Amino acid sequence: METDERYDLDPVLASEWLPAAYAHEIIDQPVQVSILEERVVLFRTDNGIKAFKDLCIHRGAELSLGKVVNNCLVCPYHGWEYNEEGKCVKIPQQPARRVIPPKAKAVVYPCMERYGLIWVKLSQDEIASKLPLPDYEEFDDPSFKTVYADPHIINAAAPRVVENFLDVSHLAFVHEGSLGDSEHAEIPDYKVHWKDNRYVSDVIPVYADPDGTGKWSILNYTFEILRPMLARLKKVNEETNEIFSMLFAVQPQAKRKSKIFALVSRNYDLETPDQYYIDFQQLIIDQDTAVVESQRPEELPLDLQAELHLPPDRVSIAYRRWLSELGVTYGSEVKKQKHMKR
Amino acid sequence: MPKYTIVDKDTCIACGACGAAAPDLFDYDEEGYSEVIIDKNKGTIPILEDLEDDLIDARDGCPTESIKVSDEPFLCKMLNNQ
Repeated sequence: METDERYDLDPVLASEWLPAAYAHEIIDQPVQVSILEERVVLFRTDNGIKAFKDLCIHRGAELSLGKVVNNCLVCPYHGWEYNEEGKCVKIPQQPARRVIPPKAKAVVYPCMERYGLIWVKLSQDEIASKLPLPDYEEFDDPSFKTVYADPHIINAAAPRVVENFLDVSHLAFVHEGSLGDSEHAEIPDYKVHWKDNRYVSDVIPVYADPDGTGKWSILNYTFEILRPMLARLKKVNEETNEIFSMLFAVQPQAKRKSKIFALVSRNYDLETPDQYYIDFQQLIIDQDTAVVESQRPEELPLDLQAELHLPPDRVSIAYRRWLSELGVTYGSEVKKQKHMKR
Repeated sequence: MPKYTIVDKDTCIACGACGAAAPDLFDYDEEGYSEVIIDKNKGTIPILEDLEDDLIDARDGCPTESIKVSDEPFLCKMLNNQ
């Protein structure tokens, strides 16, 4: 039986659907991505996108350096061909009539395409999460337009990156003039609730600009912690019914290196060029990057006594508690586990 | 009406917010978690009426909603037996 090396690294995250790439990035050539320090090759066939361990069993070459031919992934080194199920179906160096050893196969990872993203699950273990991907209704809603922010590499632990997205308090400072206003920094009291397998905040009224267009007003923010590496945000202007939503997915590449994927949806200004929203999101992520990369410790402390929390941090508190309860260790600092009764 | 209070030490994160808001009501235990001074976190002795405003400030300012307030004494076995 094959050993799943990543199982030891973080069995919880390995059992999650993690973002691997935007679907539009995978065209006719194989592409290597890095997830939990594992090299994964993605390639497109007539039947969709497949994900293999990026390793030829013959001599260990990266399959992503090869090519896709007739729905098979061809190793660049000796031309071995692997079909969509990962089975080697051709070894050019031996006569066609000779049996191909059953061991000649690639490690295949569960993979699916949803919301314009490729999602990969590294663990094939029984404990792997059976939960489907959470809903992001805006993606399929014809009254919304969704754009893809450019993928962004950040030298920070993935839980730090997700928590920053969930942090309502920083908008007025890190994004002053873009999203927030330091003259309106106070955050009204709110609570966080467990609902349908995710954490959802109360509506948080924030004086903000939704998208850098200068339309300052009170926006109703709602944060949702969907999974350890997946969150969403909805900003609603109740007066105009304009809604700005985001799905935020983080790929933990290494312990202190992550890749951000963000879907940005709006039900207004549909004629505005998409590039505006892509550029604006890049500006926001760049502003976040400098601060998040500066955080110490680099790993997110799950011991709630390790940093100081205030009532506006309730989403962050819920996130840290959930990671702790789930047993996430990758990118997290677990020094002290307080006994949890609930 | 008398007020009783207790700190849920299971969820307390020892941030010190309650002690700052109501120093006459809350102190730290040996592990650093908050507890009610007057009855050692049993929730059985009513607090002084003069401190009720401080109590509400402390409850509202607790980031983990660990400060419980009641008009009746607490049955606090579950919260104290850790």
